[in-house]
Amino acid sequence: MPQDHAADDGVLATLQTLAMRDDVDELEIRLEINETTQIDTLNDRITRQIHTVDVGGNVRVLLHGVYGFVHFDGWDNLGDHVNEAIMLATSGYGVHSTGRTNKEVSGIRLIQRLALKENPLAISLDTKGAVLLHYADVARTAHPTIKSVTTRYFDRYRHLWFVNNRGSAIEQEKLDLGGNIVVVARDRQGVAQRGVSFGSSNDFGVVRGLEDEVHEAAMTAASLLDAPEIAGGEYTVVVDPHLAGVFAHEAFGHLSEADGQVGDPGLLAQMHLGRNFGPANLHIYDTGRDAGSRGYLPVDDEGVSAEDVDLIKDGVLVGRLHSRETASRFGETPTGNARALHYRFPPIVRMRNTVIAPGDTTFEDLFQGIAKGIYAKGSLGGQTNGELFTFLAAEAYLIEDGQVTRPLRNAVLTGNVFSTLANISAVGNDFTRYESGGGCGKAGQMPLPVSHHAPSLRIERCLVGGRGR
Amino acid sequence: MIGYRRTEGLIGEVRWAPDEMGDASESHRQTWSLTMQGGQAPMVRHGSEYMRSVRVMKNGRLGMATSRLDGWDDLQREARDALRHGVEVAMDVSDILGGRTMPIVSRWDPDWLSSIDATVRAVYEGLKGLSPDFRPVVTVTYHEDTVEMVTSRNGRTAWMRGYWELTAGGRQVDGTDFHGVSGARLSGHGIPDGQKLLDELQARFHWGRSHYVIQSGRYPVVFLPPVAMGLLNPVLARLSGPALVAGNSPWEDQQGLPVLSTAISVVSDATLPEGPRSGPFDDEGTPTATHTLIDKGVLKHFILDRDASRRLGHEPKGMGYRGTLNGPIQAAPANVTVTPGPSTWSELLRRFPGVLILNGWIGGRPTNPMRGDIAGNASDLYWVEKGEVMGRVKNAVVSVNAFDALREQLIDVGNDPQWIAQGMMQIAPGKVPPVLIDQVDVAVKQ
Repeated sequence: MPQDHAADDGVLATLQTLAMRDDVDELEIRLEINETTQIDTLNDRITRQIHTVDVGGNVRVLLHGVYGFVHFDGWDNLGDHVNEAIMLATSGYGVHSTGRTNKEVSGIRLIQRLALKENPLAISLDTKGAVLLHYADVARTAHPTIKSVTTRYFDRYRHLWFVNNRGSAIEQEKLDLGGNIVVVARDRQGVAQRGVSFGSSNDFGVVRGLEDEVHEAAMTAASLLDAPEIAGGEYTVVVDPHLAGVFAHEAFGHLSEADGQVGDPGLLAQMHLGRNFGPANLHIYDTGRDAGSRGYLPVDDEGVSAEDVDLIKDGVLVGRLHSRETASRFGETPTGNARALHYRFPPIVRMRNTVIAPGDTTFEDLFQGIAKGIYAKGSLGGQTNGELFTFLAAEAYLIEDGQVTRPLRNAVLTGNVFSTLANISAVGNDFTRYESGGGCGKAGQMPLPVSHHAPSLRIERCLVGGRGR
Repeated sequence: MIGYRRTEGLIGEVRWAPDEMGDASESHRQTWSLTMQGGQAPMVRHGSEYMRSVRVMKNGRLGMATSRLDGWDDLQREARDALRHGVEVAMDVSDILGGRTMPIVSRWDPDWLSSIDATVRAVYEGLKGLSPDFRPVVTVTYHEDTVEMVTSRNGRTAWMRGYWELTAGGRQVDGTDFHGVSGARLSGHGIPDGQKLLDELQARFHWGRSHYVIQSGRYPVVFLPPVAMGLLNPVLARLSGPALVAGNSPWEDQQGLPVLSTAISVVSDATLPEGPRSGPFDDEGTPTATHTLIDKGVLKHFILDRDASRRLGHEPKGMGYRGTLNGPIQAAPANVTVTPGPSTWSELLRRFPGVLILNGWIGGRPTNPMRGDIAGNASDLYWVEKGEVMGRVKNAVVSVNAFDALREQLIDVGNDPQWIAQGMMQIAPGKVPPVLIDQVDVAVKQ
């Protein structure tokens, strides 16, 4: 972790001087130091061990309703970069000039330091590698069909300095760590895989003590080898908290991002606040204030303090996620959701930690009365285009007469966002704070650290893809 | 105080110890773009990145260091330090015979900004004309990489890769129906033809103005290039070095044997003028060429970087690329091409009395690449009768096994390939024609 600039407010003072331009509507300067470690293993050996330090920044200018954005490596010639951003914005003048400016927010002066439990940057590469290889050994010895185990670990320390011409001056430290252990079983029937994932924004401790989960993943992969493929069709589906969280993120969270709504009268007719969107006990919100989660973001990348944003409360649409620009266009309040993956990117509207609040149905009762359904656990990812979503379940089991009976493979849950939310028939009381090592992708910015915490859900008439018969 | 700047230094001054091998490279990536999106401020961007990388190999171990700012001495020291706990490798360094050296001058001309502006504006206005509620998004980007490399074998060379990308699309939301279209074009010589892309998007938008209802079942489906590329990804995964080294690929002993339909030939081609990865060398400095991976269904070559090549007893073919500028080199093809077939677009649509066209596949990627099962929500699906598009099909999940689809179920390959840019889920750019697959499972929610 670079320490030489940790308490150097001279950086902010210099940037503030550069930002005080009266020939632009808005001007932001961001400088960053990113220190990243990544370790990959295959079976009993380390295949990749990388340590990189990125130092650079960007300038974003808004002039006559046009953005100019410049990113660069190093911290020199900052005045030139400011001038180039202004030139680029000027070159776009006339393209779409509106003279519009973004939502005013009070300038923030803040120095935000890390508050860590176990600091990953104090752990040696050798120790990190040894932990991963230990898990690989646990998996490989769990079952004779386990043919390979790959593991991945990363940590990323970011030190950021941000100023704008509205008086904000912010120095922030951030940490993100995560990874996974992927177990592949293979026999004459084919190939099956299962994984364990972990993530945190303040604690290397989440990497420790995963032996039982890894062993279970190996046994599950082996059991999936001869699982039949799901027959496509409509089912009542029970999804575990991990998959429910992915559902909240993919199916509804992205739809709530205001940069996807602005300028779209058709969508705004659907996403009008006050619309009924689900069962009366459905509560979905997005928060940046959950310390330790990968979505922790006390101040966003436009210098806006995090707000908890209720999206659906009591089954009714009540909010959306904003940058300063989208808040301005909607006449609403910025929510602290403008995020940039790296200094190479401008901030755009992104989720942080998207949460489904717990309901009151016990886990057992979620299965009551299901003659034939699917119990889906874990996630291999998901995708949405606003209207439709698809997520890939890591495991799936057939439900027959209210009982989980046998495993199935290739469980792909899909549907229409609007009708699926309306088809949530029960919200479990088994709220789980799941943190994975993956991330969210949007507009080429991937993987952005996000979290999703949720209970299990029961969904009626969910469309499941598959070629089984 | 604000003192982080690139350390001066010439790559040609990097020196190697007699008992080590290694290479050093310096990359400069620049992009210029303009994006217009309905409801948001246009953005004009310029990005500039530098990356220096040193790899040192000694006693079968690899030490590696990359930095945007450090000098060569520091990088080489860090790479040698990394040797102590470096990964085991079997690789060597490229025997570069010659080539250009720096400086390679950027092709970027500031006057191009006005040409970009004109193209973006024309396509944007054309899309806006589709419907008062249509929300367009259009971007033109010029990408340019220049790379200089030296090796411990006294090799030294430099190269440039540059290409243009036009992406356009948008959607109209009517009730809970999202009617979206999107497309992209690449070019090695100037901004791609915006009018051609606009014509195609307008035609597809009009196809989808009416809805058509089908029943769940098995159908012949024309996979347009963006989703045909999705079928190809599991094939690339089975061919790739890491899967082979890990023993995960069922094709590890299939070289010389048929693995796909005889109508399918897959090539890694670094010579195409408009190819994003076209160039004389890959990112390891290995000379590139055109390599047939699958020839008329028969597995010919694997996708191997230098390390995987040496581990598996193959000669390196120039298929080691960085996914990102500061990322590690991994086994990946240059530009993936699928050899076009004989059939015109019209002939593809008339091979069956009824056929579906698939162009958007939400989540259309495998749950397990080695197995190849793919199922996803069809976000852009049309029903065709006797060659005439009847309307857009909604609420359908399309499920295939990519290997079955490209082996037993493949009926025909179109003669008009299209470029697909490298994406978040895709290891290489590709030039892929539409493919007609029969007996595709389609589950429809009525």
